[in-house]
Amino acid sequence: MFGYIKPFVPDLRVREHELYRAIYCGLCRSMGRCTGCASRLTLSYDFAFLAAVRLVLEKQQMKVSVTRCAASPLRRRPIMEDNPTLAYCAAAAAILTREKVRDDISDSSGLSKLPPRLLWPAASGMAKKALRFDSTLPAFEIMEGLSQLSALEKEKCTSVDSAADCFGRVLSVVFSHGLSGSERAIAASLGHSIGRTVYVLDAADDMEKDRKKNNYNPLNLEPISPESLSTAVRLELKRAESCINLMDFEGMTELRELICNIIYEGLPKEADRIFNKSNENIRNKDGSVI
Amino acid sequence: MKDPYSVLGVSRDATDDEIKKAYRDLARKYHPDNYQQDPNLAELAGEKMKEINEAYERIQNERSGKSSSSSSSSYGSGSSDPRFLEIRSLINQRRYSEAEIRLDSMSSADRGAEWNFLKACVLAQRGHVFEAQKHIETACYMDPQNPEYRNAKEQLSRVASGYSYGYGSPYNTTSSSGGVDMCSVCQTLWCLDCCCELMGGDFIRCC
Repeated sequence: MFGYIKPFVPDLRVREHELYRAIYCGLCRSMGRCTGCASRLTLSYDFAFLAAVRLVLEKQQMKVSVTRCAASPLRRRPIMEDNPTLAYCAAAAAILTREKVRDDISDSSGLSKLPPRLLWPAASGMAKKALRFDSTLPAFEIMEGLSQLSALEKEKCTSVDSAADCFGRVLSVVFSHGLSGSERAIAASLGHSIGRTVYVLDAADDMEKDRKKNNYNPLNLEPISPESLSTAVRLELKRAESCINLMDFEGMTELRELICNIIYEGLPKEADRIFNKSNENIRNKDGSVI
Repeated sequence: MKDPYSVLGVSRDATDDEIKKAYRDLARKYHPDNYQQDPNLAELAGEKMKEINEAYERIQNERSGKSSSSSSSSYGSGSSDPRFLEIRSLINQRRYSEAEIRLDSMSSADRGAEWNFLKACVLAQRGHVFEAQKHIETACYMDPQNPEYRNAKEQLSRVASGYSYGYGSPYNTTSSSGGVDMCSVCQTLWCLDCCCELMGGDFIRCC
């Protein structure tokens, strides 16, 4: 995905930060185990958030041990030992990566098609391994959701909302897969609003790049002021907050703090960074703000 | 059934205002307006809301003495001696120093189990935990059958053992309801400004 969903580290307690790193490293290790070593390079912060949410909803028993890792052989780091939640997140990450590469190939033209084409065998190999590992993965739903999204992109849909909604539905599937009852409802709704948020953030972040390359971006087709984008993202995060309020964090204080930090601080800060950046760009060009 | 205090996330000896505030915060958190988009979540939030309402109602009933099971939180029951009744009512009104003066003025012949119990209550309020513990032990020793003294003793040890996990809760509740509230920020800034002005500088130019 995109790496926008991360905590604001200075406000984390040390033990919360350590747990976060343990999840991140544990996820990396799980990816190595389930979907092959190459897939470890595709890990992003977003999946660590997915893992944190699923750890709470599945009431997963967690065990953290301090070991060395190939990426940092000198320092011993806390790493969460493999558990079904991490394995699921690793497998889901592989599927999403494959779909992203597929999307890149269909989006680009000419020579720029080459890099994603070269990545394709690795990406599809990862996804195949993931499916062999867990055949119940919602690969089809993800693929269908993302192909709806690329259909919207092809017809140059001007509505940010419907494009974002499409991506939200995909993440809703990813978050809620395999859960049942109230946990499923919470995860689905949380995934939906996180997906919408991330889509809007990504669109705003790529505005300049897409304008130069003439790629599809709903925000370039119908300009929206940074203020109203910011309001929209905050409303979306408010929805995410209401989902988090319903989660049962009994005995998982660190995870609650971590998730709250991401929702209340990490994502809003990321949003401010992106919107201020696009704000400056617009200012530089026309000397005024839209 | 869950402990109503833990549902609201407050300690047993929270004041009525604190409880009301906790209740209001939670009620705002789970208000149906926040869950309009998703009927499944609205249902869950409704259940939460019901739980909170019930807990609040139970605490209120307990505190106003309607429920028969409330003996630990109010000091109004179990006494026959009019002097002790008076002291109990002083304690209930949080007039601890007056209660203590009356307790201390009683002769050693009158210092039975109940005297020790009330003394312990006053001492505990002042933070003299060791002495309070000693007096409550004495009260229990003198009258081992009395549920009120036993409860108080348990409560004291519960408060002590609750320290380590209770530590996180005030921080957590504020941060999960949206971080620092505006009032405290303004207050801090204003205080900072005043301090700076005293030292000859100025933090906020206009005031």
